[in-house]
Amino acid sequence: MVTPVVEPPAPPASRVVLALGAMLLFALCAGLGTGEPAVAVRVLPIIVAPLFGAMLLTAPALFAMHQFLGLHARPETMVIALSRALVVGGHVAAGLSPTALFFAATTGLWPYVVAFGGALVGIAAATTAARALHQAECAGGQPSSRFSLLVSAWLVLGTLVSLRLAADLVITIARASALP
Amino acid sequence: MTPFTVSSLTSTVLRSPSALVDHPDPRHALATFGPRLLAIGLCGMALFGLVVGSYRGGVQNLYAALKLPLLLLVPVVVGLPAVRALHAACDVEAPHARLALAAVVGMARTGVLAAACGPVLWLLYSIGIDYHLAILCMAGALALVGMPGLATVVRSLPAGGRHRGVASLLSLVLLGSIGAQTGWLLRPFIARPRAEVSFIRPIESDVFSSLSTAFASARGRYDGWDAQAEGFLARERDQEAQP
Repeated sequence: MVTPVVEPPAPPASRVVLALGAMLLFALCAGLGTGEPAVAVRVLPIIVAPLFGAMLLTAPALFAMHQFLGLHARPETMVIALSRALVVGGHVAAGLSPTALFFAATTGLWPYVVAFGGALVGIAAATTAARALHQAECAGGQPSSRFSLLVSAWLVLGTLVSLRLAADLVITIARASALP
Repeated sequence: MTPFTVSSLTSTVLRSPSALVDHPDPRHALATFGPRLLAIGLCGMALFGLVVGSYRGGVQNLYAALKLPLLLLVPVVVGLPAVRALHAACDVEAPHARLALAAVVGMARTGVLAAACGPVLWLLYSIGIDYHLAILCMAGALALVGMPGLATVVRSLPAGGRHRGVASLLSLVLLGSIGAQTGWLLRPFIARPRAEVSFIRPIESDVFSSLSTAFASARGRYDGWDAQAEGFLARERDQEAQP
């Protein structure tokens, strides 16, 4: 007997906003380690901008290719899948914030904290997005190998775009604060 | 559930911690037993601290007894939200109250076992073992008594989920790092017999750079021991100290 696949419920918009806020909070906690308010402000978007920016820039390509390849999931369910990924990323960022604050207060390791935390948030969001997209596709019908290929390609593109955005931000912060 | 006295609570923590962790109403259990469990854990660690301080004696007994409970408390308070978030990202959803209850039970377990280790450690210290060996014995005892507490927290997490092992491994690394840095901040626990006694040293450098310098020294490179004030707490203290 085949159990029907239920489409996942959409997270409320407030939870997505809270998730973005949690990413800002994490960056704020880690950025306090710089010891300079001006630099801490520049560090603020270091998590949210690459993650949310990469999602905004690459999601249209994902939707367009998905429709072009004639796959099953409805675009709305795909948007829900991506918003779930943001919520999970925010959840991880919120959980890591006390740790970031602890290390920012007692060590000079804030750049490593940002890198480690950013990587964890990104990986959590990417794996959730892949799972949620797969779930959305299953709800529409049997997922094909083309769907797996599309999601893999989108994840690679998203990772590269987010790394590019993060590199730009790091260069800006380093120039402004004369960091090594 | 029958009302617990402190002795029966201690017995339950040691014999079957799951009886407390698997309470049907973890929020109620946390409110009822939480303060007493916390007190049991902290008192146990304070006793262990008294023994650790006895290596130097005098006021170091009191200092170590005050600091050791923090070594148990800080990593849990700072790291538990991350442990929960990492597991939630792997579809292992543990309610706040259940995880907090498990953490308090784990802390109580570790504290009681640490206190039980005290006489053995005291016996070793009383025969005047080497300073470095004394530190190793303390670290070994803490690692030994920390395992059952950590196991209590891990077992409290619901079954299932994907990549659960990765989340648990990351949690362990995170808690270990926070614990190591907390220990570095609160040092010295065992003061050298002829050294000047201080409650805590100024905030400087971090445990990781200290370890890397120690490894370099072991290979014959003796530079990099000039620790610098790092972290915003240390910088603020430096600014206050300057005229």
